[in-house]
Order: sequence, then C-alpha cells, then structure tokens
Amino acid sequence: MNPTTRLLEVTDALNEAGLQFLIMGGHAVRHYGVDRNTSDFDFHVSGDSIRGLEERLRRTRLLSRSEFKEGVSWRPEDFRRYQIGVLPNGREEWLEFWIRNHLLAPFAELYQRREESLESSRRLVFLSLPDLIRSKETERDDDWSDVRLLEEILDARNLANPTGSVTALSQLRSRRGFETAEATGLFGKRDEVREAIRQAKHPVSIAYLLPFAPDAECHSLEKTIADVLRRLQPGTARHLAVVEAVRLSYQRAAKAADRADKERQQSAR
Amino acid sequence: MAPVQANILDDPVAQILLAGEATTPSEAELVYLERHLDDVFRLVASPLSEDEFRRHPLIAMLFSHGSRGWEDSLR
Repeated sequence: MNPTTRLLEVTDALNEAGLQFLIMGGHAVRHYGVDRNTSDFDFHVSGDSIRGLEERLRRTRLLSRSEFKEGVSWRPEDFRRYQIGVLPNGREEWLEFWIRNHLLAPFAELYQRREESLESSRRLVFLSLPDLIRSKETERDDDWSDVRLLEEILDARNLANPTGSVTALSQLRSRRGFETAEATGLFGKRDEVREAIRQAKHPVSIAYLLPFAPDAECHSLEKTIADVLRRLQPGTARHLAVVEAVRLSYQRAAKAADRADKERQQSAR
Repeated sequence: MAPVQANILDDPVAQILLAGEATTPSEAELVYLERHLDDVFRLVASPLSEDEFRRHPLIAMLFSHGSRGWEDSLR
C-alpha cells in the first residue's frame, strides 16, 4: 500500500473518532515535497481530544480490528502513542499524538495557519510549513536534515510569489534561496532589504541580509556578530561562512533547549 | 607507529570519535565545528584571500555541513 493511501485510511479513522487534528511528522514532510519513507503517523490534536482518546480510536472501523496498544510516553499529558500494527517488513506502525508540543504554539493558532490538500476527494490538513520546520528543531540530527530541505522549499515557495519579496527576504533561510534572490536582483532594493531585516525573526535570515543594508537597525542578532556582518562584502565566502556559523549556533541552542525540556519532563516524573 | 596511524591520532575529529563524544564522523565534525566557532570569526577577520579563506579546512568543513547552494546539484 502506498503511504498516501495508508495515511487516508488513518485520517478517515481519526475523522470517524471525531478528532480535530493536523498532520505533522514524516507525512507532512512528504506533503511539502521531501521524499520520505515513514511508517509513523504523527498528529497534533486539540486539547479536548485527549479525553477518551483511546476509546474513541478503538471504536473506529480501522482500529477496532487492528493490533492496538498504547506505548510508553515520557510526557503523557502532552504526547500519546499507540501501536496499530506491524508492516510486512517487520517495522512497527505507530500513531503519535501531540496535545501540547513544547516547540509549537497552541493548537488553535497552528490550526489557523494550516495547509490543506485534497487526496481522493478527502481533505488532508497539515501543519503549516514554518510550523513544521519549528517542530523539527529538536535534539535529533535527523530532524535537522529535514529542516535543511524544508527551508529550501520554504524559500522556493516565498520567492515564487512576485508580490511578496519583503516577506521572502525576511524569511530567507537557505543558501539556494539566497542565490535565487541574488540572481533575481532582490538584494538591490535597499529599502525592501531594510524592511525585511526589520520583519525578520530568525537570526539566519538577518545574517543573510545585513551586509546588503549595513545601516539597517537590527536588534535580534548578537551585536558583535551584527557588527561583523555590517563590515562584510555581501555574497562573499566570509559572509556565507558567518551565516553558517550563525546557523550552527542557532542549532546548538535549539538542541540544548529541547534536551533541557526533555530532562525537566523526566525529572518531574 | 606507522605514519597513517599517527595521522589518525593527530586528527582532532578522529579524537572526538575515539573519545566517544560522537558516534559518526559527521556528528564528530559537528562537535568540532561547534567548539571552533570562534576560530571561524578569527579567520573571517584574517588577511587570507577569498580563495584561501574558502579552502581553509575549517571553513570547508563549515560549508560542507551548511546549507547547500545550487552548484552542489551539478557536482
């Protein structure tokens, strides 16, 4: 069975159980264009879905006849997982539910930013691409490999919008996005670059932009690094090396924060 | 000791692996890079030419772990 057909079977079951949910994890990564072999189904569900979750799932046509058992969760208030079977290749199939994800905004906010697609006349509802990237900022290196690819896709989508150049610049995260923006002359529009720096939240985006508008105000990047960037020729190896150093620092801090959260959860149990 | 073994023991990335601080060469390189970010900024401020800077082992390692450019797809 192909992954989309199986996903539809599972989402049909969740709809039958009356759950409001967003698809995240590997199937969302696939939706956004990264080829991925996954046997897990990851969802973010609304807080009230947790009440009677297991019973509601067990009553669905798909799961009532499957090998269905709850797995251990290191944060059961926030995260539940259920094994629903074993694939012919021996891999276990798991349904995983986030009720509260420490990396993400509350469900209602995520749902407002959702992205939808239609598959075999059924609506599939995914975590937005920026939220999916955020959800991958964990201590696992595999997740960061996904982040790299998803950032390229985010940039490609933003840069394909001819009226959204400030937005595209303010969210710039990948080297390919940077090269496309450079080739299309977006960095030549100094006022737009300044505005993009003002709107940018991610340090990597600011690091890409600052040498193109060194006089721009910038408060969300460490001053010593911002000062280095203001002096660099844009697009040089030195500029791009500083961008990668900023990326690495961001990644290191995000991994440490995720690890600290996990340790807090474990020590509280 | 044979020269090849001596080289391996001199390699700081191999030392990270041998010390059990990483489980793969890629992970060990990341650990090494994280410990040497200050050196990246020192090299940025150095008088190296653009080409010498790009070819410096630390910078080459940094780029190999960073976001890929379009030219990578042609290699």
